[in-house]
Amino acid sequence: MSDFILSVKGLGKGFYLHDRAKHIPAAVGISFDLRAGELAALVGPSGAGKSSLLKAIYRSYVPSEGVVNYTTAAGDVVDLAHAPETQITALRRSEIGFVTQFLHCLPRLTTLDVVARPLLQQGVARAEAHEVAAEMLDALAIPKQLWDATPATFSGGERQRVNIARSFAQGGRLMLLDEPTASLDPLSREKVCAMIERAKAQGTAMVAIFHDMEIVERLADQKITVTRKAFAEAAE
Amino acid sequence: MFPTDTMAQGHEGAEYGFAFLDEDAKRELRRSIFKAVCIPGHQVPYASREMPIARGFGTGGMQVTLALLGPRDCVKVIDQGADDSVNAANIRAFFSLTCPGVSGTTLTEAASVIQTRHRIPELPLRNDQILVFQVPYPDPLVLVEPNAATRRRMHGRADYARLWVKLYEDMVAFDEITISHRYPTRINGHYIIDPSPIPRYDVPKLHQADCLYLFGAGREKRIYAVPPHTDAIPITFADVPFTVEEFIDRKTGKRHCCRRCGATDSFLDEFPDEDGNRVFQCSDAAYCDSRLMQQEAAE
Amino acid sequence: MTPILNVEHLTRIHGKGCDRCLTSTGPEHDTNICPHCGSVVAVADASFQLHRGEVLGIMGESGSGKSSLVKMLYFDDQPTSGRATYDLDGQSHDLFSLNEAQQRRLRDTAMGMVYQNPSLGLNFDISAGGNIAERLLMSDELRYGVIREKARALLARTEVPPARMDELPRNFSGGMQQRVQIARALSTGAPLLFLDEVTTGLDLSVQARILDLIMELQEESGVSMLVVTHDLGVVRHLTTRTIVMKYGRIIESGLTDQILEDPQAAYTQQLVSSAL
Repeated sequence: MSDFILSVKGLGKGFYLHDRAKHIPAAVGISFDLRAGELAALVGPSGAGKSSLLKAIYRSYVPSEGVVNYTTAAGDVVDLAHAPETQITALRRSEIGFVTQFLHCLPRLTTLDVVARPLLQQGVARAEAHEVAAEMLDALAIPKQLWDATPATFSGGERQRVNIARSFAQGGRLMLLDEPTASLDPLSREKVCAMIERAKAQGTAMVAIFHDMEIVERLADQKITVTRKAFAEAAE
Repeated sequence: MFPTDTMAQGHEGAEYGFAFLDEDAKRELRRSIFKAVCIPGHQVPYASREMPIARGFGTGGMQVTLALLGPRDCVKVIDQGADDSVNAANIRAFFSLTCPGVSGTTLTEAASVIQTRHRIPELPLRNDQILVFQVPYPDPLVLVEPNAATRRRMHGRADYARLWVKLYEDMVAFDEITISHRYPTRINGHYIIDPSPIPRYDVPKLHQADCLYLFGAGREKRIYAVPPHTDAIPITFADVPFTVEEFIDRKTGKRHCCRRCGATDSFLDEFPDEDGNRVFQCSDAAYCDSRLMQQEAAE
Repeated sequence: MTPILNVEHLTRIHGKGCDRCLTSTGPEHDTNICPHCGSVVAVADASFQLHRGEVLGIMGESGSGKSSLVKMLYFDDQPTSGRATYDLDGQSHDLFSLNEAQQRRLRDTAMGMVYQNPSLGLNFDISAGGNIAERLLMSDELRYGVIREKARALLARTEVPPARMDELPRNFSGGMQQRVQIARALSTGAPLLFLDEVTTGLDLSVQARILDLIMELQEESGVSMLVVTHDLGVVRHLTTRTIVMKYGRIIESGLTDQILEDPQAAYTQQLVSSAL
């Protein structure tokens, strides 16, 4: 049995646009293995398909090729590229998290509830969930007077941090991070990095995209270079 | 076509037979009655015949009674408990006229068939007696569902939630169920009937009775029955008991009594006397009279 | 784990139907009217599963068959062919082989429906509380006190002011009527709820509040829901998995974010791109 949390083999993602009858080749197949507490950074030129691959691992995109073997907390190996949707849904609820720069939040929930929500959905008691949420919001320096307000009224940077707080509150064995530090001020960026380091130390495996190569150097245990198929073929 | 002389005068053999109705009509009525008895509370359709009185004046009850009567029967007709109202007296006269051998009576205990409008006699009926109700509106669901086909389906499925919703709305508006007569009553655990405009006071008499109750609706062409020893439960909520009229005098806290016979155990009619005072009197005239006679005999 | 609802090859043809109805209609023929016999193929060979606690979206334009599908499952309509089983407390009910009384029983006690048009789901001639009472009475609750309390609590939960409990829903706003419908649908604690275009025609702000309410209630109770809508926002907001229908056929199904972000079928791509 492997001790990898994630084992990606030849994962690629392309698109076919019916109305233009056009194939859009995206990322070439990538392969890597990831252990607990490790972070793999997807690197490559803008438009190479890093985000597409990250979404393909999460199954927001349907992978075009390859295998994404994930070892669950129970020890089962599940190919995320082909697993039934209900299994993906269950894993998303309890084990696999995704952090984007964009927050789609419910207009009526308070910030504290937004962050606590995934925990509540997992069945964590309200008081406990709120405690974890408060800790996360505190760690990301969201002012306390905003906790009772709805994030719908927040600035872009604040919303992004609320979103990150929510994802890290949920935690999980595998986290997929799509530019979590983009467009944050240096202080907030530092807080997010610290949070990632802390999660790593607690054993969370991560696949991440960072705009900032300095952060890649600081946090990544391995770098996976992503190139678009058309580029790759041209280079050969 | 204008009637010819012979038609106008009638011809040989065209006289009415026993009990006015022709034998085919009686047979059809009896079949419907049998069916009604077999399926307690179910409204059985029948071909309501033209009667020599207008529909709405008891033609349904009359047809059922006529189909039942034989030469040895003794018939009583009451209207709101009284034997001598115009309607009751005329129907009784009609039975005497068209049913040779059938005797008329005002005594409840003497009658084998009693046709009634709006009351059940005070004296408990025996297993050799039949009470025939004149019914204006046979279907209790008509209040909640305008479509007749849908109503029939609802009866079949015992889908009566909307009747209870009526009770609910009553409770919300008045803190009590305000239905005073035609109280929806569930027969043998399935069909809910309109027991004709009898007061609530009479509804419990339908339950597990010794006699047969038959209901005839002439205009609506339906016959239904509550057979002897059959459950008849007025619908209500588990925590809102069904109650009957109590005739309590608000001033004294005691039950009003009949001003004629002094009865305190009968259904009372309330009306103003010559001086405009509210007075009460037995609605069942035969019951009141028999009490008076007993009192006279005792004196 | 057995799904709560398992739908197999469900088909509904309006009209006399012929051998070629199914092969002559559908997205590839760009019609749901059979050219040979003129019958309308409302739903053809639809198979899917709804899992316990899941919120499944059925998305499509008007005439795609999404409402017809739900109507059959709620016994408002009968299928031409096909099967559906409803797993209730470990007991499997073959929906279309039940007799009418059994179907009605199941519908009254173990299913809830919220229609787009409140006049279908509510009786406008009885009070809001009476509408909820009716559902409770249908499931044999005959205690007035209990009925009253439950109705009050349900209406409070769906944010209908208690003071309006005894008013006729006819006088309510559209959003409030939907709240009463939702309270009624929830009243028996049914584990399966059908929502048919519940927010269509409401103001945007009202829509958002209704959707939030539905989501909160779903999380509280874990009720399984089938959400029929043409609105991508509703699908995004409520559902975890989505089925896309066109001309009576299921043309695509998947995780909701996948359907919205990486739709595979031509029609879905068009639907998603036209909305964004």
